[in-house]
Amino acid sequence: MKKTSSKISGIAKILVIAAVLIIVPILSPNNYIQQIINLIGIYIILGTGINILTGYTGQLSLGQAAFFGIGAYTTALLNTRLGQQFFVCLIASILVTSFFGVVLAIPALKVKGPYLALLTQGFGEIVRIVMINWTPVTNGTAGILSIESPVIFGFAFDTLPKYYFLVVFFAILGLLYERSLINSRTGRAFIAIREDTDAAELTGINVTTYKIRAFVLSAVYCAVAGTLYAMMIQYVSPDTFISNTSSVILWTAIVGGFGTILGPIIGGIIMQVLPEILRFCGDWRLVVYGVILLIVILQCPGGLYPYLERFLRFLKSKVPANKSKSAAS
Amino acid sequence: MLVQQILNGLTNGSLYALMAVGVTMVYKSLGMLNFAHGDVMMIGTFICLTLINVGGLNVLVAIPLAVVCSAALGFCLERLVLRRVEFSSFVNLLIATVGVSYVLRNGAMVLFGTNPQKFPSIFSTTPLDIFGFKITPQSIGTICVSLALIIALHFFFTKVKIGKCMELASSNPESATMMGINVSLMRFMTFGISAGLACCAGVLIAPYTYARADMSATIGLKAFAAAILGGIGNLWGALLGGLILGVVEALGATYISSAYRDAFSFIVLFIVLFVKPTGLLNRKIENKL
Repeated sequence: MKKTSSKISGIAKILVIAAVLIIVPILSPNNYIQQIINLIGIYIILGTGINILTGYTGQLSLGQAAFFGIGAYTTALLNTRLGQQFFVCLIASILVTSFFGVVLAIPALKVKGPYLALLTQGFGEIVRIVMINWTPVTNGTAGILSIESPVIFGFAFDTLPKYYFLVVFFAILGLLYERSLINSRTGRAFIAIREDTDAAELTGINVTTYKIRAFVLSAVYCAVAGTLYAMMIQYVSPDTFISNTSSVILWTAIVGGFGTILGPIIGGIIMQVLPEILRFCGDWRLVVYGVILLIVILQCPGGLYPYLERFLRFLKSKVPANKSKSAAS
Repeated sequence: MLVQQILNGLTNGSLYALMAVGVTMVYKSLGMLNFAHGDVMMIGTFICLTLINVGGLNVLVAIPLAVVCSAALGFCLERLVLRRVEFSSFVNLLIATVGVSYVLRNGAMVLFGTNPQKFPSIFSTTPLDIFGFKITPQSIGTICVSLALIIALHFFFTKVKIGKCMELASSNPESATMMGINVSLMRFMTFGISAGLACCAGVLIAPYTYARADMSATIGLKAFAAAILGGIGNLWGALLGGLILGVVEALGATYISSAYRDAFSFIVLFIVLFVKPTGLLNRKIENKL
């Protein structure tokens, strides 16, 4: 009896979330806001990727923008030069970024802590320098223009509200995969490595392969986000994939709460909406943005997710109380 | 040609070394790379430039003032930001420095603009002919000043009482506390000195690269690379790493490709981290359980 009721409430929750997600593009007044909403989705995917690598496995990365960029450029090149469609681009950019994930993971296995952060940041810089200077392929600082919007099974995702559903689909897919991953053997191994690498190794976890796996997984998330980004903005340039972007991606996960599944959602929303709210600050916008984030990190080192959890628990404790009251009256 | 490039490389290398020394000092006392180090350098450079252009001060007066201002900035960072996260997780400490870097960089872009600005050099730039090689007094001056600063720092840490206290406080905080040294004050001062050094480096770099708000990112990263190459926490290692990095970069830019100039130092960093993560001058630390 209890099981069915929890199942029903579970279904109800899913329905409510689905309804909200469907209503969002209808409510969004213009393309500008819709684009921000789509970017939130893309950043949720990026945040989930870094959450697997840093939040669960404890491997700090400041070079996520490089993977994001490699994914976006792969898609852009395949689409503009070879005329390939969405799925080919997606799979190709996943393969290419996975390859670079392994390339980065191999030196990264030897180092930890600040060294790893530095290594990943250096990787990001190398990728950016190559993007700028490898003009015959990447078109230098001008970037690659006129990427086509995707057509899937004859349905064209050519407007931002339509594109929204594509982003949402991949964001949910990514979150669900992360959830099942973390509850699996692999996820437990990741957490063990984060908590104590030596102890994990002693219990028979193959730290090397699991670390490589974490790197590749986060690279795959970045590839998906990169493909979605390239096909949505229809333009890629090296300016997007700088170290500031890496910091924003890291913050997306950290503001929401590292090592929590819902954290990147909160982070994604805050990191994208906050700069828009701060538009009244004019030129000082990004400075204020940085200061606010710094305060958040200093004041709640665990991110905002614990606060949300507490709030939800508070709501839950209120609801049954109300029910019993109404039953009594 | 080769010797000429090595000379150029040494000039840049001595600057990287000066930055790397600051990084190394902070790493030793905090156990953390200060990702805002490059940005402190950039802010120091701009303060100096503002003092010269707006305040109408002489360069030689403006530089010490700018160094003092950056040291104050370093003090503020330590007090206001890093001390608060010190005892929470390592990731937060790193993120805090990255956040400071973000704020400083974007703040500089608003305050000082994004255009590169010409920075006056203390030394003359007309090249001298020495044994057929062209070398400017500017690069000789740069090398000499950097070396002098690093040597002075070495004596400060080995001969002066307060320097010795700082050295002990960062290498072994527990026994330093038992000896009655105020560890947190020492850390505070380490931060200030490191920021002051960054400003010195910035003032010397800016005549070559112009003062730009985005100069911090690459130079800061190269300073890390130099510090790690030589062996972090080691003053002479930082000097050696900086010089090697400068020469490799100059030779790479000449013989391989000048467009990828900045990439060479990061490739060197990759190789060092892969082959000998402890750096050239540090012994390998066994992983104890």
